[in-house]
Amino acid sequence: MSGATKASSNFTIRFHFERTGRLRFTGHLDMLRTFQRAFMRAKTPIAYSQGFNPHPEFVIGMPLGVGTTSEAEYADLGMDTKVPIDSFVAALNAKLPDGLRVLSATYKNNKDNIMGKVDELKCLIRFEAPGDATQRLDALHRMLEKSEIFVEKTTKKGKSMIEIRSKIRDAQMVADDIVALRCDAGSHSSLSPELFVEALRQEMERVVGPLPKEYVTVHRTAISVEKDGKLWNPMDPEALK
Amino acid sequence: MNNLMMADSVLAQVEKPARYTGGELNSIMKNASEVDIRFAFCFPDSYEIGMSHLGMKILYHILNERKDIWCERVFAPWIDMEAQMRALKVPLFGLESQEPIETFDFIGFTLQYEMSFTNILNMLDLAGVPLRTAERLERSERPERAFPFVCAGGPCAVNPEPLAPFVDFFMIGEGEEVILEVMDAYLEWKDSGTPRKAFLKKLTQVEGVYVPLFYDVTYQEDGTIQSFQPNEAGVPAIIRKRIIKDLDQVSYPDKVVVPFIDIVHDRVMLELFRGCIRGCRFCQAGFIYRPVREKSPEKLTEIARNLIANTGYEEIGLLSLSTSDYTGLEALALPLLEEMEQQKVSFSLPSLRIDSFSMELMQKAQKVRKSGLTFAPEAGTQRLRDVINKGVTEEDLFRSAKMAFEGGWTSVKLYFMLGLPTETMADVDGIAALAQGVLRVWHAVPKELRKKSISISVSAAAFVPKPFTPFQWVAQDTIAVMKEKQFHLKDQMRDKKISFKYHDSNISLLEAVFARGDRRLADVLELAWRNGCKFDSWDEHFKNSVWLEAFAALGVDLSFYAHRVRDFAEILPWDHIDVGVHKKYLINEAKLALLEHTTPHCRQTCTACGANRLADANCVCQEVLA
Repeated sequence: MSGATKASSNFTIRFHFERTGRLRFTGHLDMLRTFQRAFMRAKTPIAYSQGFNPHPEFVIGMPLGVGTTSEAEYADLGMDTKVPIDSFVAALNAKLPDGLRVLSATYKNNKDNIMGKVDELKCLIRFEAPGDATQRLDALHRMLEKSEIFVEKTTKKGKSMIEIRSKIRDAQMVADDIVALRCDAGSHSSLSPELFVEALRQEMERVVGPLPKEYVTVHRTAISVEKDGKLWNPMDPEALK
Repeated sequence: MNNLMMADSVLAQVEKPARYTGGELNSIMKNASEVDIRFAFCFPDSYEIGMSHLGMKILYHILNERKDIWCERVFAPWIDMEAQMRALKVPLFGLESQEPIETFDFIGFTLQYEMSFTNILNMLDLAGVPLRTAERLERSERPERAFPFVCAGGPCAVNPEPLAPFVDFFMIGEGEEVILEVMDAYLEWKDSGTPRKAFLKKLTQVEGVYVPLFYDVTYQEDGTIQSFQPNEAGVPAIIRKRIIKDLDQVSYPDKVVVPFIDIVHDRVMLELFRGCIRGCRFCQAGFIYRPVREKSPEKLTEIARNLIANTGYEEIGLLSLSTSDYTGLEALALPLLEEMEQQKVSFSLPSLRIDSFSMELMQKAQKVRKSGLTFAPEAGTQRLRDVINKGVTEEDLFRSAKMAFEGGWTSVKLYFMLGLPTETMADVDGIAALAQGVLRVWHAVPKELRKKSISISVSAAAFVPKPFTPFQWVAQDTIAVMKEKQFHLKDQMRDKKISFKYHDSNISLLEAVFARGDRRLADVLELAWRNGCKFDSWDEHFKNSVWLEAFAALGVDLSFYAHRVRDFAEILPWDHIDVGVHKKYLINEAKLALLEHTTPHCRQTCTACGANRLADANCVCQEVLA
């Protein structure tokens, strides 16, 4: 189920899907498995890799965090035979669990792997306890004026400080409790919305004193892929040429 | 319905939140206002364990087939989630509706192993339901407060006594028919305006239902039971277990819930037959599931096709107590294997008796991965294998091992038990000798025929005497003796190619106590739970000292239950349950065991165990008797 193996498929479909509702708590590997079983139920003629343990040639562009919903998920799927795209979508949607829905699909001509081409994402971050919107707006402006912002990142290996200002491409308050973030995404560089929120919290603390860590809900609204130095919607014909 | 019972902020923090969010493929949603009965089917362990359990899938399907019933799944919340639920006062809820089960009509538990009992109390408590039948009766008399009925079934229900004060009624045996009869009785009672107790009384008329409330126990000075009797007229003295006579006719799920997260057995499960012809004397399942009834290969093929089409699973597992004894194995397995291979569906086979056919089957089933092969000689010497009636010889084992090594297998698991009746150190030595014998077999296979490496893993469980077996009267080894045997064996396992594992004998002791326990253990169970015991089958959560303190505080002696040899004349706590097999048959088997005499299996000859009383023409008993 990884994109690393040699492609043996005859055709590749790129499709755009959304993840909503209870499905938001499904991890990335579980998502891959959920799709794989849906392909089986839908009798989608998917291609399998060669080798001892054949697996579908299926990649999802950019893993979604647990708890995150999205209207902008993209995946590439290798096919053995070419079926009309409408019937592919209809058959799959009939078999996907509630919360996953394919919005559009198309055959792509290049061998670009979606996972390797993602460059940017956009998301909405909603604060559960809105607090003082003016303070948050001020803190956001101060943050964006900086050239470097360091936050602590906790991983399985331990804690480390990472610089995130260079990863933020744009951030705006779009409502009292919602920030729209545009940032690096992909294998070269990426920013998790949680780290952005942590940086914002720390910036507010400098003015108003200690604040509790706050739970935020994240909704992904867009992903862009890079091609020839430009950013494209992954479904754009230019990106698929 | 995307509203979850638990806040996102909490779910984002707990391990594997998808354990609690429901919404899986094929999970069943209904409109609560359109059903008459809501049933919470509770598995008293984690989601991953409970979701792997076939019985739950069957009964979930049977109940939800009815338009007027909505059955939901409930699992024991993991430690981190429970802490959050208690802190935030979130009651235990059904995965489907995400609503508190306290408002349901029934809370049903499946009893798969004794060490899950504390989780039952914990789940009732998390649900906000009083633990004991008496308290629920009392508090339900106020009209504004009706609690769900608490019921239970599953293999441990054959000795229901340690749980008797907590469970309103038990369903003994196979559940498909009896559970619907109970539901119908409930619908009749629901609008009758009669008290809660009247429903329980009504249930005593349903075959296979045991309502502990209507039975009194008295004890003699030495602690054994003096009498066990109904305390009301019209209540049956003996409760006979239920079975499904024709497995081809009973409804089997054509859809099962497909979890998002990885569970223990994440595949289509095909149940080939129920019961077992073998009669190994230590094995409770071998007696309580009798008589043997098979499904036809045609029916199983149809079920497999439906389940694969409706789940998208990539694997099918065959399930039963002794798969090699399925008479239709050849007719079923080879064509199905070929058909499924074309759909990229693989087969997982349980441990089969090794013969040329099963080798062929296994070769085909796992074309690539020749991983582990499991043998269960259970005892180290022929003498002890005769005592336990395990019809496997050293020659069988070595011949099978040779075939496996020549077939390319590189790892072999050998399962044994320590502490079987009449065991001596010579028998313990026999375990090491057998393991070394298997290694010699490997060395003897020419290098060009076998793979380069071999790993033999020996696992020794501590024997736990169980009700309804010929060993239900025997003493379990004390911890000291068990440890001596474990260390003795460990000392002999020196070859690097042989690894050795054994179980925590403290857990086995408690298992033995509860397996053959009586009602007096209920207080111990509750106290241990109040002092923090739960998830006892998980080594990392098992709190031995808390358990021992609870026994000491209430003056209950573990040895009375675990280490005492019972007299054949003694009234046993489970004597009011009839599983089909006669007590006099078990006594006879117990005597044959001591004489080291084996008993032929059901297809060789009928030894009149008594289970044929339950069956009809679709059963091995009738084949043999005819």
